[in-house]
Amino acid sequence: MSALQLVDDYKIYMGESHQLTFEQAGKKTEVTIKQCFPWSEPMEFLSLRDEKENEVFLIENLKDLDVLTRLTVEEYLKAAEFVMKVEKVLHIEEDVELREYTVLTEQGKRIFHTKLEDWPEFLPDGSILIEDLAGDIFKIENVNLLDPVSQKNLSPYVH
Amino acid sequence: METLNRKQQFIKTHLRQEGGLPKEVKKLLERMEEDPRIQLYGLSDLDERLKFQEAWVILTKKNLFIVKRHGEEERLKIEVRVPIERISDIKENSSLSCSTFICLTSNDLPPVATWRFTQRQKIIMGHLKYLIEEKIKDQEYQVDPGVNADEEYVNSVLKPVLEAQNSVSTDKKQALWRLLAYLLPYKRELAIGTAGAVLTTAVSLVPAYVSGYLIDQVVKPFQDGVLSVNEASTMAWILVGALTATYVLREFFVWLRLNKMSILGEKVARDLRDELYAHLQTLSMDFYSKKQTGSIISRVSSDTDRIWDFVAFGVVEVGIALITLSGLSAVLISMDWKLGLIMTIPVPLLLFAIYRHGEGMKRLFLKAWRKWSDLTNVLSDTIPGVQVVKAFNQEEREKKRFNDRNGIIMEEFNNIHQAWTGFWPVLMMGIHAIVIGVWAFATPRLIADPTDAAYLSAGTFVSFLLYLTMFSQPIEVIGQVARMLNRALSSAYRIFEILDTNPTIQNIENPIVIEEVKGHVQFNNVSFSYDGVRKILKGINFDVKPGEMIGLVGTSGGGKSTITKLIARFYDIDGGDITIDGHNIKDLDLGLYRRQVGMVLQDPYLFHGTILDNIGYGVPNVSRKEIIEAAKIANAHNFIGKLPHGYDTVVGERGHTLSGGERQRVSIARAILANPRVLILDEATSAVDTETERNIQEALDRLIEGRTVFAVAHRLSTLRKANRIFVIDNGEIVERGTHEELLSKEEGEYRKLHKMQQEMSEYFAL
Repeated sequence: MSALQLVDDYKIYMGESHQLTFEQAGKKTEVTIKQCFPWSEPMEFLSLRDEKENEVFLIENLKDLDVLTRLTVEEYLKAAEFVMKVEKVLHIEEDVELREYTVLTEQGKRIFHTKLEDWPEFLPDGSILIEDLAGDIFKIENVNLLDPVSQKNLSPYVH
Repeated sequence: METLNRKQQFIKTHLRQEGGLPKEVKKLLERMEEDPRIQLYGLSDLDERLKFQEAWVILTKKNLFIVKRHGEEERLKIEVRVPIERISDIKENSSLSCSTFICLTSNDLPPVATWRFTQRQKIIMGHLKYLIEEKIKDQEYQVDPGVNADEEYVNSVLKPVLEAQNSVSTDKKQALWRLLAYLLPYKRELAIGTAGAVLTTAVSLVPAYVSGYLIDQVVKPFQDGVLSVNEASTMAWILVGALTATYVLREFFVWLRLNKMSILGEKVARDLRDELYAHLQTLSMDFYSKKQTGSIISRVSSDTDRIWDFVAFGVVEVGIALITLSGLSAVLISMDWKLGLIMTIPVPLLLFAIYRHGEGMKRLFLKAWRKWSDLTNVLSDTIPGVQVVKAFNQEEREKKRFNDRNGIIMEEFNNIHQAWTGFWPVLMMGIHAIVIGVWAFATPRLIADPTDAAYLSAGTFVSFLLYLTMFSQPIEVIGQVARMLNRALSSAYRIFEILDTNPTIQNIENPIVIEEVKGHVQFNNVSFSYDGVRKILKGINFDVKPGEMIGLVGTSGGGKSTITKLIARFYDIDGGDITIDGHNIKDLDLGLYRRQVGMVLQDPYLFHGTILDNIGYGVPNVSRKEIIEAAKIANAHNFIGKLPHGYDTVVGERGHTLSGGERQRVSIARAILANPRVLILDEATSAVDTETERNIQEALDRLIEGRTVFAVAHRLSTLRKANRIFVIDNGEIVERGTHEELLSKEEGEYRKLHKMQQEMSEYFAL
């Protein structure tokens, strides 16, 4: 789909009720955005879904959007792609059946747990994801840029 | 209460989150609200900039509050107070680790309340959202009176952790004493095992002493000419004999301890397994719906095994190790305190080195374990999926994937071998250094004049050296037992959690005994929820006469299957009452009643065993003739006859050797034989081909004759024999009547469903 068609055919904007709204041919639909490739291509193939999670539109590339729409979508995605980014790994403790991580994230200090058999996952770009028991995701962008203590604490789990 | 406090403490220390609504918030609400009783609350832990915050979302009878901690003084302030009657809608935007709830009064006005939270708060926030939605529909809607907001908050936040490890809600000491109490019935074995252990320790101290004595009292006096050859030989042989006897005795006591304690451990594990399994049989379905099957199975199997390990080797070993250590230290220092100190002072250093090495090894093993799991992942992916690998010609790719990971594992294990092979020689050098130090210190004293106060006899010195070798083992044991104890306690928590769960469905005192139920089933304003918050059934009413067949149709999750579970009394209802033949279902003898309720489910469950065993499962000692008759009615006799082993065919785990349709017919035969008065058919003919469906339907038609039947079905064609049909949607009966009556309703739900299915049949017929 070309950029010209995109701009002419539809609008995406924040409605009065602070809901992302997709408008096409006079029909307004409140939508959420689902990233088809949240880790490998987060800004491409964005699926707009209605209340019942049915796709109403697929944005192939954020670059195809006009500036205003792109800003709106980017603002929305901040919350949608939110994961806790780890700045320091303060401590990792192995207990019976559980592994307890104490970390400093961009948001503040956090303690979380994983099962002993659940290991950090590597993404193609080399960053690391750890999903805790509750389903929260913690991301380490680059292990090598962490301080030496954090690197040492993480070493058995990532090297 | 104690459990709640402990859980709150766990949340504070292990999740760095408030364990409950702060008292200041409750006080704030008391000042603001006429009726400040809190129905539910949750923590919004993300602010609008997606930074952590402490903001409480609280629902009272009439209002929604958001109370946030502010500023340097960290004072709590009410940010939002919205009467619930103003809220028209609550929207949810969920993403990876952040969800946002938005409360609206109108779609074209800004939201009146917005809050964000991480996945950790998702369960309790889900309950809050549900409650707000219900209150939007009905202002008077209340949570169940039994729901405690603090408990809801704590349990929902802790749920994922509790599922994985249940040690947060129990006191460690209490659990240990309770575990040890299982030894009491076996006092004799325990006494013998303990005596064996104590005697092993005592006897182990003897050889070193005898060796020293032999040198000082036999060898040296002989060399000095004090003893003759004969005297020295006699004494030496007596002492060697004593040494032999000591070693024999020691091994006998070792055998006694190991034998008695390992058998005792097995007995305790057996008792726990028996008690656990018996208790599991008494528990109600709500327990099973909350726990994963694997988790329950592992409690009966591996958890009891860990406890055996602890009882057999852990309980006594710690005592022995402590006695040995203190005994050795006392003996050494009393024999020669200077030499004793030289030998004992470096021991903590060595222990520290061993500890550090252990920690390093732990990290290396962790790495290796992780890499090992990468390798096994390839195996568990490709072996079951070998057909896909071959079909896509990806053998080479999979071989490379395996080889790469296999190579990495070898490297990891090489690192481990490098570490331990490097450490032990160094450690041994340390030990040798002590020995050399001891020699250096002892040699001048060994060659000193015997009348000198500093003189050290050769025998005492040899005893010292031998005692030194005994130091390391008890320390190693203490290290291992600490780990063993932790594992055993964790298993004990998991077992006690089940043993402490009371069945929610129980017989009342003097229940009503109905030998034969007629099948008159009434639901009077029945409401029910699985979690106390989300109502699955809302005021259901119906009166079903004996012998009637009722079809239950409607959307998935509407509450159809829940109705059938309540009829079988797998759960007790929250409101209203259910009567069977005019008696409240709760007053009936549960066992007798259940025997008269039969179920044929979508995915029939067959046990590992023969077809004969499975058909006769509910009716012990049934004759083979009756089995065959039931199978004939169920249209199962023919296919069973074609099997090489006939009725003696072993169907395998869950009946996997039979097809879906065959399993269903065996389960119908089982129901026929049990001859229930009330029959529940839950999607009994779905997921089978047309021919099989016809066979099953024929069997079902015979089965339902003369019984009260509740049939849940998606395919409306299977309900052609139903006297009445109830359409269930969102926990309510939205339509009821005969097939014809429901079809005649222009805008009826049933009519819509029927039309949709007709169109689909026509489409597929094309």
